[in-house]
Amino acid sequence: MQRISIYIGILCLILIACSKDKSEQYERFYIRFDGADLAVQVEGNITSNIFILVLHGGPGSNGLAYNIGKYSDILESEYAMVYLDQRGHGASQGKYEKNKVTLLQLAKDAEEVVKVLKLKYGTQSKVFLMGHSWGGLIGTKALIDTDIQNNIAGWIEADGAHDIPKLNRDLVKMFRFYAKEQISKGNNIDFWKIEILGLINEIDTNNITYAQSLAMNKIAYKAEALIPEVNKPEKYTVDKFSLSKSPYGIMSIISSNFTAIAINDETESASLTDKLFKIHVPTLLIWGKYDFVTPPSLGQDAFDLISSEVKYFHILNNSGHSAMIYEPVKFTNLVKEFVEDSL
Amino acid sequence: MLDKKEQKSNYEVLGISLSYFAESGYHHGFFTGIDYVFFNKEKEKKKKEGKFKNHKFILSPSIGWYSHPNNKMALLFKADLSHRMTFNNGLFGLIGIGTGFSRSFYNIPTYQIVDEELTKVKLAGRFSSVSNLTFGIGYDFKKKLDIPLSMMIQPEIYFQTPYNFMYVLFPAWQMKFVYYFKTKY
Repeated sequence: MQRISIYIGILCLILIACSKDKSEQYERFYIRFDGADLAVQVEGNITSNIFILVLHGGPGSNGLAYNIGKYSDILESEYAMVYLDQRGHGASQGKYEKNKVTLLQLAKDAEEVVKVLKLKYGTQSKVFLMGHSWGGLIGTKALIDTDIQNNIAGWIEADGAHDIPKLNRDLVKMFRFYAKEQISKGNNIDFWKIEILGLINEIDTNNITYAQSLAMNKIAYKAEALIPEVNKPEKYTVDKFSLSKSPYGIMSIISSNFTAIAINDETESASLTDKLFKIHVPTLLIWGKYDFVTPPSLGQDAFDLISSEVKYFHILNNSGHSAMIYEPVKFTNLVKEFVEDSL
Repeated sequence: MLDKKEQKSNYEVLGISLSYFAESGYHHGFFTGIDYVFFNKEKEKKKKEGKFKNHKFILSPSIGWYSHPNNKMALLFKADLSHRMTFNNGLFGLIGIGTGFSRSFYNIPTYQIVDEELTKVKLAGRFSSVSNLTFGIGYDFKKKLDIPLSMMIQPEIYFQTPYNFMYVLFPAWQMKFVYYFKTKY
């Protein structure tokens, strides 16, 4: 008995010793809305009164997956970054019907978070919305189908996926183009010939199946890693909380996956290109040149079709799907310039 | 020490339990409750004279708590039904099922907009039902040392509903001590 008590005591001491408190200024809270308790972490320079609300990718990811590396450190030193776990993801929880797991509901959630930020930190606060990958789809949906544009100072779409059917069609073209280029350069010929061309030659672009879409998505990460021009992603820590203090746990992982499955069909058919003209807020579009997950052509469409008077489209030449990780300094410089111009 | 006949003729019927509980393996908590032995049977092994297996069915109502930092604390009220098989040397194995409910309390503030005003939700959290499947191994100190105490380690799997729009599963484990204060003769 005594020995067991000693072992338990030692175990507790180890757990306490391993826990690392976050040094940055941050605030965590839930926002209760439509049955969900949405987990939010505000971190960085809150006194700037400038908030960048990050809509994470996925579906199935979480907000703090974007609290990583140099890019978040740089932006947090200037502004307050708002890491939201979208409905059903990460630490967000609650009780609601399955019909509340829709792109529109997630867009409404984002709108509500902006309202709360304004009420909590003062109406003079400026909120920018930033969506990456699938978060680009949610952000675009919010801009088109809610009144969020009345409450934000600008929209930043980074490698966003606002039109999945078009994404798949454009990806086939992009794969074909780079396969030809890389084979002619003698780079990884087997991969581009067998895995890439072997896959896309089977695809009918008028009828791309879910399995084919998934296969292209999976191989896209491998493809961008094999392009010599793409920077090696910086080494980063995914989460600044120690394991014992992390807001996430096994429940978060399971629940995020259930939500991803529930919203998958709607995501796969989501096509917002025809409604992009409804966007009129200042907009910054940043894409990695070698983004095989969400081809840069989607960014070009957004740039061409939105009604915003102030709009910028930048392609980072040494990036793949997550430009903030491949080229964090360039990425943050673009964001900072945009934010300062939009105030 | 009691001889075999005495051990067979009486058994512990009611005990008080205290457990260290860890949701997902590392979110600390505890449980306390009652162990009520409502069925007890000693079976002698056919080929080994003097070797017995003891079978017990136990009902265990309990109340527990755990904390998941930056997420929530939760109270759990549940009752478990378990079957314990104890060998002559005091080692035992168990399997059980449980059911009950939980009430979470968020350990960070919760806000909501009511009539265009931002309000703080008091005691924010959620009710849900929980069910669990338990396995365990342990040691009965009564067998060798005549101390009415049992100790066990129990890996568990929990099913909680509702959680978001459906349910969630999570693993846990308990290190449980039961002190029996009432014996049936």
